Amino acid sequence: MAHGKQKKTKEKKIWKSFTESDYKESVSNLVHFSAKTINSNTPAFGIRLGKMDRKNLPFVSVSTMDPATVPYDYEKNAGSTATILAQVAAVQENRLEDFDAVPPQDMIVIRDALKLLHDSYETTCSFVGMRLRQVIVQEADGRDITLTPLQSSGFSKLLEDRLGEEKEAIPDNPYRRRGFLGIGGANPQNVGRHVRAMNRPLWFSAPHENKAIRKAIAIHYKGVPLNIPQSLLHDFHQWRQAILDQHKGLMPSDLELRSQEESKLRAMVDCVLSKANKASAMLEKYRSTLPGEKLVSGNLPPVQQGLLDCSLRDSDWRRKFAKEFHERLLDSRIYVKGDWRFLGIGEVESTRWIRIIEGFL
Amino acid sequence: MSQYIVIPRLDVRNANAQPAWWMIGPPPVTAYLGFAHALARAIGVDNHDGIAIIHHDIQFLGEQYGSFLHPHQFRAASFIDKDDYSSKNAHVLSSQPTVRCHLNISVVIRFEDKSVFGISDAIPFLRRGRIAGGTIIDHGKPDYSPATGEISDVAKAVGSGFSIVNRQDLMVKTEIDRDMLDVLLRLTRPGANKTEGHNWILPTSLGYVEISTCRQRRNVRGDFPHAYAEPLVGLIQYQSIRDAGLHFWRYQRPTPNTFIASTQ
Repeated sequence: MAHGKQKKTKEKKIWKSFTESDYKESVSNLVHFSAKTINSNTPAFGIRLGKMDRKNLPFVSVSTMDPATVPYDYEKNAGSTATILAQVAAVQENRLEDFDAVPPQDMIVIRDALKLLHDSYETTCSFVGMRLRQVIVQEADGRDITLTPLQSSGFSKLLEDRLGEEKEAIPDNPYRRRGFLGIGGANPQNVGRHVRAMNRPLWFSAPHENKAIRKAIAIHYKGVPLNIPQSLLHDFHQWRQAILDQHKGLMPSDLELRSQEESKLRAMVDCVLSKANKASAMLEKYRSTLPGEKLVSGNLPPVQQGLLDCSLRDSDWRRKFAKEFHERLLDSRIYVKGDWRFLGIGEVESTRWIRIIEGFL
Repeated sequence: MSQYIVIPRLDVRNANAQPAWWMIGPPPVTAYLGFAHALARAIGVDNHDGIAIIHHDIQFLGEQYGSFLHPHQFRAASFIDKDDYSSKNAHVLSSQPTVRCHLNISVVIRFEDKSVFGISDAIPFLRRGRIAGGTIIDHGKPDYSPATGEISDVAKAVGSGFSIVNRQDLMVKTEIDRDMLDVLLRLTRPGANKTEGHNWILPTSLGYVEISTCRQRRNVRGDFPHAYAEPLVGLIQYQSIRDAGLHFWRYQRPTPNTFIASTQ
C-alpha cells in the first residue's frame, strides 16, 4: 500500500542577538526607495516616506498610499543588515513562530525602534550617482529642474501580495500577463530584501497594426488607380506607329487589323480588371474590419465602386468604365527617345473603342 | 488659435518599455512630453502647448509564451569605470535589466500662434532625436499647419491610428478599494466584465512626484536643481483617432512638488 509523503516541517531559524543600537541603526536606515535596484554598483542611496508625506492624488504610487503598508527594504546589504531586518520584519509582521526562543527584550527593543519608521529619511549624499537616470522637466515659471526617478522593491512586494489576494478571491480568473526580469541576477538579496518581487512586472500591451488591414482600409477609401502599364502602352504605340508608317499616316481598317487592335485593348483592360479583382478579394477577406462592413466607401466615384464591388457592375457601370478607360488611354503618355509623348490618337477614330471595351466587360 | 507641427509615422527603435518598474508597457506619456519640449527648444521656441500622440504599432523585444513575456533584458552600459561591472563577476554589468520595444507613432505638437519657427529646423533634430530613449530611424515628412488651419485638417494629415486618451476619470475609489492600487487592479483585471468602450485601457506613468527636497546636487545634468522622484501611475486608453480625435497632453502643476501630464 502506498504511503503519502510526509510533509517536511519548516526548520525554525535561530534568533541572533544584536544590541539596541544595532537594531535602531538598521531600522532608522530602512527605506521605501533604493537606488541599488537601478544599478547595483551605484552608491547606496535610499528614501523613506513618513506618515506626513502621504499625497492625496488619484494615482498609484508609494506617495499616495499609507507608507506603513508598503514594506521597507535596506539601502544596501552590508554585514548583518539582512539578518537584522529579517528579525525586525518577523516582529513587525507577527511571524515569531519562524524563529526559536525569541528573547522578550529584543522584541521590546525592536518595537521601540519601529517608531522611527513614522519619520521620513533620506541617505545623506550631496551628489547624484552617475549611473542613475535623470529626467529634465520644467517648473511653472519655465525653469528647468532635474528629477531622478527611484524604484521601490517594497511596493513590488505589496503588489505581489495584492495579486495573490486577487487570485484567491477569483480562482477562475484568467492569468494576468506578466514579464520575467533578472533583477539582482543570482543574488538579488544583495540589491534588496524584496527585489525578487520586482522580477515579475505586469505586462500591458497596446494595439498592433496589421499592414494588410491597413492596405484594405486605404483601398476602401481611395479605390484603385486606372493606370495602364507602360509596357502595354509602348507595345500599342509601336504597333500603331508601324502601321501608320506603312500607310502614309493613315490607319487602315480591315478585319485583321481590327482584331489585333481589339486584342491589344483587351490586354490593357484585363490588366486593370485583374488588379481591381485582387484588391476586391483583399477587401472581401477583411470585410469585417472595414467601415460599416462595406467593401467600398460611398464617397468613391461609381466607376471605382464597381471596380472593387463586382455586385455593382451593371450595364450603366460598364458604359461609364468604358468611357473613363477610353479617356485614360487618350491621356496616357509614353517615354520615347528621351521625351514623354501622347499616343497620338484622335478622339473621333477612337470613339468606337468605347463600344469595344464595353463588350469586354 | 494654435499652430501645429505634424510628424507622421515615427519609427522608433529600442524605446523604454517600462513606464514604471512594476510594469511593462508602451512608453509613458511623460517621455513624449520630454520629446516635445526638446523639439520646441531645437526650433527656437521656449515651450510647446501640448502634444498629441497617435499610436500605430508596437513590438516588445522579447519572446512571448502565452501570457508571459521573456524580454531581451537590455542593460545600458555606463562605461565610466570598473564599477560598471559586478564586483562578484567581472563579466556582468552592474546595471539592472530593462525592457525595450520598437514603436511606430505619429505626433502632433501644438504651439501658440505667436510662436515663430521654421519647420525645416525640426528635421536636423529628428535625425538625432530620441523618444523614450529609443532612436528615431525613420519618419514621414513633417508638416506644418498654420494658426488659421482647422484641427480636423490636422487630424486628417495623420490618417488612421489610436489616439492616447486620458482616462483618469475612471480612477475613483469605491468602498471596496483600500487605495488607488486596488482601483487600478480592478479596472485592468483580465476577464472582468468590461463595460462598452473599455477596451485598450492600460496604466502608464502620467507624471512624477518629488520625494526629496529640490536643491543643487553634484553630477546633475545642466547643473539644474535636482530632486528624487517617483512615477505617478494613472490610466490611459487607446481610442481610434476617427472617434476620439486628437488629445493634447501637457504638464500641469497641481501642487509645487508634482508634475502631472494631463489633457485638460
